[in-house]
Amino acid sequence: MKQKCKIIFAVMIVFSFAVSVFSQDSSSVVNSTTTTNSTNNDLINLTVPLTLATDLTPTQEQSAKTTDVRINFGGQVSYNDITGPGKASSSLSQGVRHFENLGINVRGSKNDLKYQLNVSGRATNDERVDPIFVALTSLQARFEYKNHFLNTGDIFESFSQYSLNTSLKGASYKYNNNSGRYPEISAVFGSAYPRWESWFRNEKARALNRTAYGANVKQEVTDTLKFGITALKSDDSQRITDTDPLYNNTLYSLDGEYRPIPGLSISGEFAMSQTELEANSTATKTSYNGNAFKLEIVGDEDPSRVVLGYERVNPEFESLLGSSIKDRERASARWRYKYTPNTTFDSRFTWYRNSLNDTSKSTNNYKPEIGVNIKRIFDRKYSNLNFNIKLDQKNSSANNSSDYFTDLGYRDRFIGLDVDAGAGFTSYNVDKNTRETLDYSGRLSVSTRKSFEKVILKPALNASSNYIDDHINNTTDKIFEYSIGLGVDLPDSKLTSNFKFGQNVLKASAGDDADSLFLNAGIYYRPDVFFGIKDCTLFARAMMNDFAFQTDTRNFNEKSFSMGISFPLDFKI
Amino acid sequence: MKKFTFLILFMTLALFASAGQVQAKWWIFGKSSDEVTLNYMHINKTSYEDMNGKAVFFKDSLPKSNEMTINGKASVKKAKIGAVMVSLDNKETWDKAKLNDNGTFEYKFYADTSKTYDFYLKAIDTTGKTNDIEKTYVQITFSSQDVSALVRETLDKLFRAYQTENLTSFMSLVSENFVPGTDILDSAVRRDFLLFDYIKIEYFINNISQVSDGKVFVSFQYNRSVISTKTGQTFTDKGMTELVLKNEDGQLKLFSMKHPLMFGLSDASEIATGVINQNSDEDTLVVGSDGTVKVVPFNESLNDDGGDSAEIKTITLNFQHLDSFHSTYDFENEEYDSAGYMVLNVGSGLHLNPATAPIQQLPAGTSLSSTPIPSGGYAVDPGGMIGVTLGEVWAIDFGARGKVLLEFKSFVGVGVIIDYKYKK
Repeated sequence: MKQKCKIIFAVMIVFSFAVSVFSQDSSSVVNSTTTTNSTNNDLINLTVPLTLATDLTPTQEQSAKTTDVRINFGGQVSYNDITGPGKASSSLSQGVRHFENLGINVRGSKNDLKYQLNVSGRATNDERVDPIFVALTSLQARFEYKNHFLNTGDIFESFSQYSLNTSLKGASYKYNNNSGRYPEISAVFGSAYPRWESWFRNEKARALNRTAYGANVKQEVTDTLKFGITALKSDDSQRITDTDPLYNNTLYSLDGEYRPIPGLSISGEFAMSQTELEANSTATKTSYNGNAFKLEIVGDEDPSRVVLGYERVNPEFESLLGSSIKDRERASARWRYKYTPNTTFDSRFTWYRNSLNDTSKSTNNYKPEIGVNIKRIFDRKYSNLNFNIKLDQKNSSANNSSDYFTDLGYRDRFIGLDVDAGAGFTSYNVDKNTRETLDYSGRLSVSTRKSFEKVILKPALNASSNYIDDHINNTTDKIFEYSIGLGVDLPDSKLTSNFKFGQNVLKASAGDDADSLFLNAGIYYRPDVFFGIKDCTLFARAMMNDFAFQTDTRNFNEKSFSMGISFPLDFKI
Repeated sequence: MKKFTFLILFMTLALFASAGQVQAKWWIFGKSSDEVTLNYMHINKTSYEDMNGKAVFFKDSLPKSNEMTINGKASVKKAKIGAVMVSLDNKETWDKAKLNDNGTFEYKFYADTSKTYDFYLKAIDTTGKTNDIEKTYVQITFSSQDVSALVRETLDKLFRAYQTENLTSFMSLVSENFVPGTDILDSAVRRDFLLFDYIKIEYFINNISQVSDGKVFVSFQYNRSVISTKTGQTFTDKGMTELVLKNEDGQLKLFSMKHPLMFGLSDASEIATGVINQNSDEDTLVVGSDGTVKVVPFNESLNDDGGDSAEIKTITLNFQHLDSFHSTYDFENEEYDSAGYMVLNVGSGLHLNPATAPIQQLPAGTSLSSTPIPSGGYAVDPGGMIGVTLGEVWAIDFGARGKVLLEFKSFVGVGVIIDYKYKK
């Protein structure tokens, strides 16, 4: 851990030094004295946004500086009070809790070199927010020199869907020359830790070490054909528990896109993986190979858009840093048809199955769907009608299920009121008397915005209801929720506020009835300048939830009051 | 079921019939051969076909001096492209693009990021014919929002739509290229809405990283509570998760999610494209195939579909059940079954015959009570009968019919006592 800390600090010091060197005017002489002065200037320049905020013209000296610094700060203090016998079910932490975010962004350029540093951290004593009291949430440094790009720290290089589609902590390099048909070359090295504290081996953020390295080349062969090749290796180490599986994975991928005629594109990816698995601390290593393939054809020419897709990911394919659902074969078709400028039909069909090596264990899924969307219906300017029917069928050796979904939605504006209404009917059916449930739902939302001389009022009403009829268990659950809200803005005073009150009622015939009352209120003050700081926001929020259940011992009430401030500081060095 | 099928068939036929009336050749891309067509076009590397008439560029990510590059290719069968013109002010003025013999063109301008550009492109062939200019319209705007502000705005919208159970609004924030499939997420979220009531989720961003192709990686802490509509019970969980958003038409949309899932928990195995790399005992919300909602430690949630009991059970398998030496057992229905899941053979010592089911051995002394049924690590072809001894712990993957973790405890009479945990 100490060594890693040292590496990070070394990188940061080197970067800070680089920033100070590159931010010097070309006529400056860099020596120890200058560096000291530069540090003093940093301190002095911290006051720059305060003077800028009062609209003074930047001095010539300031305008010559080429490194922009932005510091974002956000902090709040909350008091949470939870009472009642069921208070253990609350998602709040009792008592006074604080939460602070600090982010520093440094960016600048020197001739052809552009550089950027992002560092941010968080502190909180609320374990529901983060079990770690002070956390380093982001650390990134980026350099761009002509066609060369170097990223360090938190890096995200998306090589292709199957190979690399996740963030790493490490370094990446990219060569990208737009002036001709040159290949785009990327290389990456890093660890797939979810957070920096995992790297520091913090007990509260334990994760095994998944080191990854690889490269990707993208090449435009012709105007209509381009492809990419990826080789990526990931290697797990430092098991946390004896039962953690460790993977050693090598993945090769080829992806491409071909546009033979205008409006038609054919794209796809083929990937192969070689995996060595040590299932637990005493298991012997097993090796297996797998592959994945996907193809998508898109035809897009008014009035139609047709998308055909096929994908097969076999059970032995491992993509530890990419995105895939293994052991699945899927085919889909979608046709969107613009019948008139205001009427669009949308139909799709998806089929997929799992357990590819043993089809007797497969579950086959069929999802046909059709819908229509009509704008300006009845010649009404703001009207929008949506109707959709969908079937979701699953067949397996264990059971078969058929779920039907029907939805109707309508949006319009009547006498200045925005209305959004919807109704739905769903039938869930699983054979062998497993499930037979009907769900009827409805929702209505009415809102408006009225501007007066100094006040803007934004009242809103929402209501929704579900009626769930279970024919197997002979039960009926009813859900009803409503809320009324009011937003009040005072633009001259730089104040915005909102208030919402509502109730959520669940009548569960087999379980516990629940009746929840909720209330939220917030007020936000965004002055032009606050103690010399621009773009500052001050806020106060209050919240109350009262949960009442049929079983009294589960009742609880939670109240929270919080106030805070957020602001950016901008200056140059 | 039949009625529903007929309804869909009828609507599809009606659609085809009406389609024929409107435009018979809707399927012909590129239209007739003598028209001037635009083969492809990119604005700062973003494909024109992905823009739908609107392109939003982030000031932060623009090249040096806000340079905008438009390149593409125009073609015509019976003539040659003679000129390509670009308008940035709603066709009021036109500027000539650099044109090559093969119809490829390039146009550069330095953008004033406070302006909105109404872009049109006109390709003219040597006979004077032009392309369909109206179809090339793109409104180019610039956002001063940094990516983190846009990520927050997108997550706010996603969580708001999910919490208010507004499916239409939620799905409008999901990318058409959502990795597991938009329709699979649509069905899963619908089931979430049936099972969950009064959903509350707070999120706290840890980290945002973006890549040049418009994807943004987001890692965040979450704090969630829901009420189960079945039981009326309140469930809370918290932890960390990761997702990827994709920039489409200037808006970030959901592209992929890792476990623990924020949306679509009802079909988690078909939605999560990976698991975040962490070892945690945090409570994690899961939904079973039978709609049971519960919270389990994160490490167990990877293997737990939440629907079936994971309690440890004990059986005594009688070797003489099938014949003199064999026994089979159906873990799902908890009964002997000649076509059952597992065959035990005691001819020359105890043998386990999982047939084609993948299998793995766990370290001796592994506690069934504290060890989840492994989700991975199974040897695909165990190769017939496997000799086992008392005290050994094995896991078998029966695919759609579930997984079992079992320990051979002791012999009794003509049978063996086994402790097991089963999950479908």
